[in-house]
Amino acid sequence: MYRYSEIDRSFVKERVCQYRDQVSRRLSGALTEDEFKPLRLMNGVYLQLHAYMLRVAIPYGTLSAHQMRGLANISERWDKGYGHLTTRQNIQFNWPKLVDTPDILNALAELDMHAIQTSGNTIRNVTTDHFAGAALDEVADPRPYAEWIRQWSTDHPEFQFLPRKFKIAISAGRQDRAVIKAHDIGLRLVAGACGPAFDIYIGGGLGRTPVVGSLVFKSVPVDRLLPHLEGILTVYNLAGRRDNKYKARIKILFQSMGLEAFKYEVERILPRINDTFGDSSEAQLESLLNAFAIPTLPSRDVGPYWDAVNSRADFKGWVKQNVTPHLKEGYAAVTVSLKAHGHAPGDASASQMRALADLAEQVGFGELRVSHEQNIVLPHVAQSDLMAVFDRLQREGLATANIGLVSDLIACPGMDYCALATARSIPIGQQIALRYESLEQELGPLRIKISGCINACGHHHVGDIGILGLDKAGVENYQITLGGRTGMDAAVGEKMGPGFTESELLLALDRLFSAYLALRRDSNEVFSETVRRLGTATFKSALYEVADAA
Amino acid sequence: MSRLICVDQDGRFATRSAVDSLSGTLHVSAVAPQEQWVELLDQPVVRLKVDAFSDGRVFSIGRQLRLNGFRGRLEVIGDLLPDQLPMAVAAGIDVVWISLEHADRCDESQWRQKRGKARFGYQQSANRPLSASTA
Amino acid sequence: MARLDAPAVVTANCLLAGHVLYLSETQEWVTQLSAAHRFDCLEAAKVMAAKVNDPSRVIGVELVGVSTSPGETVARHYREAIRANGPGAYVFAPPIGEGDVSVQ
Repeated sequence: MYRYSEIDRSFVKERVCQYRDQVSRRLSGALTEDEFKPLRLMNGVYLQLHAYMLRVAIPYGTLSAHQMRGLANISERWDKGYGHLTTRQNIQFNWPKLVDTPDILNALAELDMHAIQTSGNTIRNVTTDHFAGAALDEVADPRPYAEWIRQWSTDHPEFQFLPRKFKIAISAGRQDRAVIKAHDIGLRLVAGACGPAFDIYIGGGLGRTPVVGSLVFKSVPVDRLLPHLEGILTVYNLAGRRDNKYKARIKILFQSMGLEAFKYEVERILPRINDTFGDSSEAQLESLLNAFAIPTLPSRDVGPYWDAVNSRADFKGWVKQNVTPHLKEGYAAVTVSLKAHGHAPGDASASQMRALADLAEQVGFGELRVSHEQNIVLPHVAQSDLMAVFDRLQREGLATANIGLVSDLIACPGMDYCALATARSIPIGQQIALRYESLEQELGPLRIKISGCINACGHHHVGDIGILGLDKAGVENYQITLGGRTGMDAAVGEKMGPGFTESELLLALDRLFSAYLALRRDSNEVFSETVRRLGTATFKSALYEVADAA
Repeated sequence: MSRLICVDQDGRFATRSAVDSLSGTLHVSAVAPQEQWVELLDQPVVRLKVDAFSDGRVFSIGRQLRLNGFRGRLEVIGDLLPDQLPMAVAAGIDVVWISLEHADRCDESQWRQKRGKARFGYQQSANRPLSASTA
Repeated sequence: MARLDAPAVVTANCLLAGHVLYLSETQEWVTQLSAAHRFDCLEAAKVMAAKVNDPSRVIGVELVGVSTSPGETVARHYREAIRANGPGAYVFAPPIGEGDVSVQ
């Protein structure tokens, strides 16, 4: 795992001092709220419905056991004893006081963590595959590059006041587990002619105008990666719209300029930018590549594992659903579900965080991951330890065997917390999880994604079933989209028609699922495949069946 | 007529001036397209006006001007925040002109403090171009 | 956001702590919607909101509509009900067919 250098440490400490000073200038009146707001946002501090919210970065989703324990302590000391994991591999505390936030940031700095650029019109936390370093299908571990980009983008003097937020994701597997085409910049690590290289996708994003990113620069060598990013950001910073925040993301600029013109503008300024990146940044990468070496995984006897699989049905079911093959034989990656039926998706209590830290220390080489699907991953666990992991998770209420099923749904915080939301998300997710608990094995792999407003933090556009909560004349109204996909063939789902009230929504889903079970070829044809084969029209009529008959 | 205070790279308050006497001021939106700023490279002074501190275009314009050989004096007119001074310096901006009212709230000590500590960031090694005053 | 009609209350968030505040009849900031002063005249409410907008204490001062029924003051829009009662506290009537998952 990457460990902070003295440079990292003194930087985050200095940044805490700056933020403490900004808070005191706000309180003294030296800064107005309008002036203070972007400064607190670029330190992760929002004002939500009921309280301030602090969004802490978990760069590329990687966390040590020590850090996880520290987050548990923070949640108890300054918050209400829980944290919420987000779809961008961050953790949010929902109840901090503004006056406490400098102390919280200081406590984070002690843990070699920060909340820098988790909000604001800045380059946000770089996300990647939660199985990075353990995945069977990856070209190379993407995290050293993610850390390289984190350092380059952190406090970058040119890019702290962009037209709008800017999100970068990297994927290195054959399968894309980082939704790169839904990002402002999506990077795909590929095997180039002379070593690793990057395909650079630009202009993806969800939100009000969902767009799938386009491949603009192909097979860019590693030493040209940061200059390309800087060139793209420069063109965006100069030409992106600032008159309308709904049209300010790079996707709008990219669409209005067109791929060729955008590429040309970047290439015009690229040579000068290239000159400013010398050997030092490559030396920096070299040391990062070493820092992310995966731990030595000793060979272990897998006999007891198979005995347990064969003797305990609950364990077998959990392994089938929540355990992923590892590149090292005899090892596995464990996805710990934070989606117990009826619980708020992605919430973890302080005691759960501590239990996860214990497990990581005892059997997981001290390492944890946060997935964009709002679960926790133990990336390197010997198969012979899985039984002990399962037992401990059961005691903590963390052994729900539902990864990839209906109840493993994504939900943004929605109107229960978020000041921008137009409807609630979490209670909808809770109701769906409870309603289909006994049916979800039969329904098979199915991604439900719920957003409480058009900003699409719940990624509803790319769900097999997307649910978007809106305010329709003072009543919550939920629109359904079908056919969304993540991955390299990512697609934006199709909006089905008029929305449903909360209670109608569940009945509509009943009909949708009935239609799927009746129409699928056999139990091997998963929901998304049936929708693709038959088209969305069939399912649209199922959704509105009763309404039409009435 | 509104009057302005000039803040230098060290956060010192210097000359006061009437807005009208700052000639040749260009609005940042007129300069942002690449075809426009390349026209400025051989000017002795470039004055850029921003309407709000949140308009981060000046930082990229400054940076691009310097990268492409601009050796003149780069001035920004607008109520930037003291916290932005290190960014302005890194972008090759020589001075910032702020309004008297803004200077009242964001007084010299705040600007001096922001500059007192050298800018600390990960991009220090990136061979940043110098501004006119240090070139 | 829905059109604002009287009666209304003045609300904000606390600058230091962030929690939800309402303006009471004695022009103090209180945390309970039930203790908020109901303005029957929107103009008077607007004047008061401007008067109490002290950026060193509160943030986001605005008016929200409340029910016209006598007795306890209740938010008219679900957003305000959630602001007043906290996350998870806003529950609707159970959906039709609850417990009767009629799939298959």
